Amino acid sequence: MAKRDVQQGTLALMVLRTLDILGPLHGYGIARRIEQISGDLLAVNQGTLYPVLLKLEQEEAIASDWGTSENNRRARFYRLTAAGRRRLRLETREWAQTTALMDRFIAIKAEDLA
Amino acid sequence: MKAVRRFVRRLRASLSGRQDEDRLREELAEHLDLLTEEYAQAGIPLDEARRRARLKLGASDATTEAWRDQQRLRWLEDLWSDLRYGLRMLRRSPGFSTSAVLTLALGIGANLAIFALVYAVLIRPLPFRDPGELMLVHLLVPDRDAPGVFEKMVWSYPKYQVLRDRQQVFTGTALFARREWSLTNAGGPERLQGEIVGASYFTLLGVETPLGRTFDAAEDRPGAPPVAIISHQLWQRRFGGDAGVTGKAITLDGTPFTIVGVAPPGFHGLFGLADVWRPLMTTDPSDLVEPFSHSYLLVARRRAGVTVAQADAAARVLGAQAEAAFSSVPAREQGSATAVTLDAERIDPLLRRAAYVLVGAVGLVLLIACVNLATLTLTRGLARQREVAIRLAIGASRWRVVRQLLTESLLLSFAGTAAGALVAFGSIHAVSSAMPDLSHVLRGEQGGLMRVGASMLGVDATLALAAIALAIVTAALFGLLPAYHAARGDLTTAVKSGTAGSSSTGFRGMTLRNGLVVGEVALALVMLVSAGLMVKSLMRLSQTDLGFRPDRLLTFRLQLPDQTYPPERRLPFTEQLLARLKARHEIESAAFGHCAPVSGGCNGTLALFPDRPPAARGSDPLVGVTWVSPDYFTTLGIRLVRGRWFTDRDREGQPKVVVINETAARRFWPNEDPIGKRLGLGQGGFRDGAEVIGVAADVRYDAVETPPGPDAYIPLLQSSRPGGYIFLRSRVPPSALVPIVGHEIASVDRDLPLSDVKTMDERYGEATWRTWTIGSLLSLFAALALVLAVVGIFAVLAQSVAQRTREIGVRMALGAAPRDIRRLVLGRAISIAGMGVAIGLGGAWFASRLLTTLLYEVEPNDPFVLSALALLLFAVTLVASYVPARRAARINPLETIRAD
Repeated sequence: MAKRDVQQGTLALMVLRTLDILGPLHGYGIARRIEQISGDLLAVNQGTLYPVLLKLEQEEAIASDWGTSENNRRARFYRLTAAGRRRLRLETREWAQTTALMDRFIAIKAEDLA
Repeated sequence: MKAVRRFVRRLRASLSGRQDEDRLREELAEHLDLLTEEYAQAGIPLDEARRRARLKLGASDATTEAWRDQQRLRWLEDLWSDLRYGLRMLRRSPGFSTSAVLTLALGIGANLAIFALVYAVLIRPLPFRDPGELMLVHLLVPDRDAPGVFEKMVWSYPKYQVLRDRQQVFTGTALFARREWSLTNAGGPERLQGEIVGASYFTLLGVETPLGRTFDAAEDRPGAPPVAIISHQLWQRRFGGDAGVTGKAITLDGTPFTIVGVAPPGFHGLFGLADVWRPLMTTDPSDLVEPFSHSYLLVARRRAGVTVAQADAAARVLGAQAEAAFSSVPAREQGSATAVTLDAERIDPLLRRAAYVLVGAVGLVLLIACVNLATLTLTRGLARQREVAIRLAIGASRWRVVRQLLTESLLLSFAGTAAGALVAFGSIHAVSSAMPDLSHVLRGEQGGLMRVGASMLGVDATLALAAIALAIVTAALFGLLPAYHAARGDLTTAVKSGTAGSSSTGFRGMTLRNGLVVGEVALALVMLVSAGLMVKSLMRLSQTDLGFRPDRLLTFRLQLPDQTYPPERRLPFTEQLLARLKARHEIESAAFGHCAPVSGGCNGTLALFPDRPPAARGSDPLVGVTWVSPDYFTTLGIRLVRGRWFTDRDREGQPKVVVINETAARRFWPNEDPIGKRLGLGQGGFRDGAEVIGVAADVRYDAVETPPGPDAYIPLLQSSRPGGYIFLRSRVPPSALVPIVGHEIASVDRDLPLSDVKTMDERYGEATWRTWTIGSLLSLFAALALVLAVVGIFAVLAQSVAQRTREIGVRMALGAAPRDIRRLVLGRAISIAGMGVAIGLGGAWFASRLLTTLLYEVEPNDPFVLSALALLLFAVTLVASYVPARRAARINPLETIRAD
């Protein structure tokens, strides 16, 4: 459970970030971008993206509307809300703190603690 | 807080249905299409493209399911699907479902009805403020027949004063006593039940008057103004609910009293009968200084922080002081007092015992019903073994299967409870409308504390909760074992075996079911024996010689107020009234008697023997006394054993005479002829002795169950009484006399109320009400238990025959005769019945001990009742096994073997 939470957390952050940079996108598009950037995280099991989208929408970080995709198919387009933007900022900062902390731990050598 | 929010969100998701799931599924399908398209455009063949797309997307069902688990309340949805599935299963076997619901309806219905009754009379908090603090304080006096034994007794005013002025454990105390008065204003004359009470009575109980006020301290002092409080009911009935009734007068026994308040609806005092309350101080002042005029009960409210034991200890000390203040006997022979909670004395101890017995009885019936259902469910579980095995095989947990099966039991149980509630409230309604007010019958030695009748048996939250709890407990009782049993099954054999319940898996089930049926027979025997003992008591009761003939007798109470009827006017009036009544052609004879047979409440006094040397103090025997007019004995049909009855010539001025009963003759003059002997009585001016002129057969004046003691009859013509009963032997149905009597009385005194009008049969009915009710209810429950047990045995045997068809076929093919097969089934029935009866006899031996105080002239281990009912049960069991046995013997061996 804990492992999935972490993964879902990162996935949610990726979704928010993708929408932040690229503006409104449909699910398939988001998956493609994340795959493009993160490589193997979504190489298999792209389906796990959708529960995250649904959850983010329920939490009102993103909103969705019907639109038309590049190849003229009806698709659901997701966009970032103001709350989502705030959440992105907050989580980015937390993430940065966590990684910085972890970096320091990993970089540390025995003589540094002496 | 967070957990609650999450629960609410999930609950909403569960209830709102599958919208988000549909969307998830839709988007996943869309994604799959897009992925496939992309691969296809890259030149991959369509099949391969679709395969790769699926791989990349992952299992979309798993995704949606994971989503569902995360978002919703899984157990709630499972429950819902279990419920729907259970309903479907129950609909599919209507025979099983109907019989189960009917069985439960009877079992639960009986329990709910009895619980409603027990709740109303025993459990529901008394309708007073902080009822737990209220206590009754009784004097304890030594029993003159049994040294060291003390009896509870009522208080006299001077003794009460000692306790009142010295006690510190109560916040308040109030005396109260029952009285009757004739109301003569505000409409026709009426005999009213009332109480005389200490002024703090109402405030002590926490009963407030919606109109007017309660009594105040000034009314607790000698010379109190004549004031009264009336019941809500009397206010409505006699004063038309007049809001200005306070300040008006109510004439009681010829004296006007000012109404100062109206009691709240439903309140009738601690005796449960009062319509009027008067301050104690408005009663005869001489009574207040007489330390041996014991006539008042004492209610008190415990001070906060004082325990019941502490209050009782204080009462003992103060009671001893009160006794010592007016007595010169040595301290060890002196009485004391005791304090008990009001709640403990809210009902006659015998009725309390009866209520417990009934609760036990209906509990047994329900237990038998549960055993029955458990065997049925077990049997059904065997038929469903494959279904369960398949569920287990495809991954259902055993707990999940148990839950599914339990849900079905719960469904049945709730349906049964709903039907049972209808049965219960139907029967309560029927009974309570037949007996709208039981308080006259239910009053025990301390008096009923409340009205018992239709109004008390309402449906309220407690009863509804009790019903729900009962449904759940019942479902657990009959569903848990079969569900556990079914889910425990070994799947491979169950799935493999062709026929449901083949011998290998059936064996364990059979032993369990046999055990259950043995239990059922045992429980049924316990019920039968209990009912049998009560029925035998009832038979002994109805065979009891009452000493008079109760048929065609009308009785009513006559009470002559002191103001209008001074002693010298009483006798002429009574004689005139009797003469007028006798003159009617509908009336065969008419007589006056001071108290009515089988109703209790007769006087008792000391028997004195002027011809013998004076007995040691306190050793004079006690004797019951009754004042009667000359025609009393012939009117009631009392047999003359020796001597003669009173005549019109045995008047004042003539030599004093008495008639005694057989017991008195035997006890006072053993082996001697009592006629002509002299007997003195402590009452009625007969202390100096009178000549015994006749011996009458024993009449049961107290309860029908109470064996007669020595009684003496005093001629009314030599010692007049202000009150008593008029007895009329009728030539027409006695109830037809009521208007005639009313007319005759009104023509001699318009202000004289007619009260307590009853036929002697009605009085007899009231006197035997308790035994009769318990006997018939127990019989009803025993009959139910018997039917359920027989059905249970029949079902188990029939089922075992059906399951062993193949085995029996083989046996017959190998040469067994139908007779042998019959013996096989009957042998089983006999061993079940034999074991059940043996265990049941043991159980009955214990259970009947609880009945002892309720039985009449029957020992709890009455050998006839025990053996007759054991035989009956045994015989009925064998009859029930006859049909399955015959069916087994008719099995065609060829067909059964070919069927494989």
